[in-house]
Amino acid sequence: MRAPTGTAPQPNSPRASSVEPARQLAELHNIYATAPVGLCCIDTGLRYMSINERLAALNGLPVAAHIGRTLREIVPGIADLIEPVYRRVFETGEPVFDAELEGRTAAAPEVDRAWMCTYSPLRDARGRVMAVNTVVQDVTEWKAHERELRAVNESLRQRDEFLHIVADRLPKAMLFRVVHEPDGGFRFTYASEGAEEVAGLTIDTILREPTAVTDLIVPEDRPRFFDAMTHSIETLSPFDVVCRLRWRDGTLHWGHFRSAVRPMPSGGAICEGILLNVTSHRRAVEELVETQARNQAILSGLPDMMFVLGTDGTYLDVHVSDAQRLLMPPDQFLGKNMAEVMPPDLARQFESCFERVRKDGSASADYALMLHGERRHFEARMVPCGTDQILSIVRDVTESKRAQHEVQHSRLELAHISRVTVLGEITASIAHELNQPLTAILSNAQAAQHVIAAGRDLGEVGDMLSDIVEADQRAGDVIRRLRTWLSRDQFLPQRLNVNQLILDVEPLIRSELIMRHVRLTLDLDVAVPDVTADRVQLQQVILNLALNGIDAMQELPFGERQLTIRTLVSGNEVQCAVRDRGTGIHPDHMDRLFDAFFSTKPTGLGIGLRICSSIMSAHRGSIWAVNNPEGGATFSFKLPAADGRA
Amino acid sequence: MTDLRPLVGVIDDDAPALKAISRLLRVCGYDVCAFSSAQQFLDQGSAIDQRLNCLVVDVHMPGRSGLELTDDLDLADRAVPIVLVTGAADAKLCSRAFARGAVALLQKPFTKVELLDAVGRARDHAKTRAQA
Repeated sequence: MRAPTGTAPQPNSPRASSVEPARQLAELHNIYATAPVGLCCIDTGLRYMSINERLAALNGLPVAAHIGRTLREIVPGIADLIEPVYRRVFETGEPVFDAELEGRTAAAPEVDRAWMCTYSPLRDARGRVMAVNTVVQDVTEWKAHERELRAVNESLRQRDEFLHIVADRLPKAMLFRVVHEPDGGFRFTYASEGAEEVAGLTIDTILREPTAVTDLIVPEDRPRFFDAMTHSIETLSPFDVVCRLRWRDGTLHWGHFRSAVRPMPSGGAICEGILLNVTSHRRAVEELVETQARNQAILSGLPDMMFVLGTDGTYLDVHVSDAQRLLMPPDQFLGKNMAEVMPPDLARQFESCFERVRKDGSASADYALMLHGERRHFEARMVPCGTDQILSIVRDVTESKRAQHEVQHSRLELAHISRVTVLGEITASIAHELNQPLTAILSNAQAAQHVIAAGRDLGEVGDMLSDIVEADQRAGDVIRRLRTWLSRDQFLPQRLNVNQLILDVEPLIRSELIMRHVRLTLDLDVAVPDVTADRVQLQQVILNLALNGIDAMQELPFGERQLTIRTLVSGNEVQCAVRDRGTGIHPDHMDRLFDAFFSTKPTGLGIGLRICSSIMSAHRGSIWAVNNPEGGATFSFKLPAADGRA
Repeated sequence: MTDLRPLVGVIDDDAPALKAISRLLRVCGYDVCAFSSAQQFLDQGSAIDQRLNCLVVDVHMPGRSGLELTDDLDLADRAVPIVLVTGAADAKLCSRAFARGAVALLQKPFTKVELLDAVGRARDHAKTRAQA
């Protein structure tokens, strides 16, 4: 408050005289007494010349108690602060405006208070400063408010700063503020540092070019985006849109806009929110959807049936493309326990499989079920699925079992045909082999008849009969061997010694060797371990190879027709080699030797070696041929030794 | 007396057959020399050539076959009438046998009558040749 210029009123002064001035004085006095500010007048001796009620109250003393008393006496707590100010005003004659003062007075000795003071000099007629008029305003409350305001401002500033720091560091997100004008125009007034990560734009670009962000939205998504935006502004409802953004570098991204809208007093609206780059999330979702679709397609396309069961055997999920292969419609499985669904034996088999899954991580089961009056075969494989579920994949193997059976049957059939064929090729030998004992029988019998008819010594007849019996047995052996050879028995693998088998085959080719003038040498390693094989089939291989060897030497002089059958141990395998001194194998034929219907013999069917090869496959063995350096060929096969060489 | 009994040689690699054929010939009045291979006869038989009325030989034997033996004897100029015996005859063998001068080719198993007939013819053949 500025001090009044010119002659200051002296409210407490008794010198006012005229009526008009007296009325004015009374008014002044009244103002002085009731002014909402503290007023006082201090003389050169720093004594109170006058004081109004308000200031007296601030000082904590009645008005009367002030008059004529010094500052130090009345307000000792602040005397040191204000005395110098008064002295200066007396000395300089210059007023002091709005000086702040803090301290304590008798009115509230415990409380710091603040005042705003203006010191104005009062001059006498000669211009000397005779008193200082003081206006005191208690600003304690105001100061407190100001401090509070400052604190609030500071806290707001810090919060603002925090918000900016956070906003600028949001990963793949940009905070924004958009101002929508009533005319429909809009512009970004704020964008956080995430601008690069969500839109590939600088903040500056976004703030400078109002449509920089919305221009990125792909044309297909624009109508949806702007419809939602219009709706949001009109209804002041939140905005939430996901759309595709084609960045200026050409790459495609997904943006998720979320914002709140508030109206502006001037019309239009302010839209504040966040733009998230949800590309990777979106891709993950797309991949997930794709994976699920693919899984579903696989499930529905697979011939296998899938059952998800709880470890207690409760059906949780069933996928099957052909419900005909189930015991009941798929949905009826759900919630049931397998013990309620399966025949008891099968349920027990599955329960023990579940045990194995828990222990070993997987299990499998082969089983058959009567379905619609037909026996069908299944293979189930079980694996853990999550922590408390088991996935059981079931395949109907009825057809493949049938096919397998048919293949095996055909192979046996073909092997049989081959044996019959071979027999046809060596009929002369077989006849020879049978005719020898028959000759012995007939000759002995007729010799006996002769002796008896002549009535001679019958002693020798006993010998003759013994020889007949012996020869008959030998003929019987030949017949038995032929019967075995021609049998259509099942594939019957058993433990065999290859050496013994060769010795068994030898009688079958003995006559052939004699008639074809071939000398057979056996070079058998007594150390060969047993093998597991079907007797007749393995004999067939040996016989075929031997007869092939014999055939190959037809053009040689008698003395050079030499066939060798050799056995040897090769690692954990037994090898058998049939070696001839014949014409060898033409290089062009080497690759086709074991093909069906390949034959170099004019009357050959081309099934002999093919059969040998398929027999070897069925025995997990192999067969091959090489030409010998000195001429002729060697056909060899090898078979794994039976477990636990004995 | 014994000198009057005609002598027949029998060659067969099959021991029971050799024994039975020899025995049949013996009970029918022949002396018999048995050999288990052509080679054995070639080695040991020359001593009895003069007395030998006939040879009964199996065609199919390891080593020298019956047919080869006829060639060997021809070469050695040991003219003995031969009856060939086979367990597995065919037309080809038949013609080859007669081409080599065999008196007869018997199919195993043969009867006593067939055997004695063939051996008898061989003896006649031998006599004719001797007289010539």
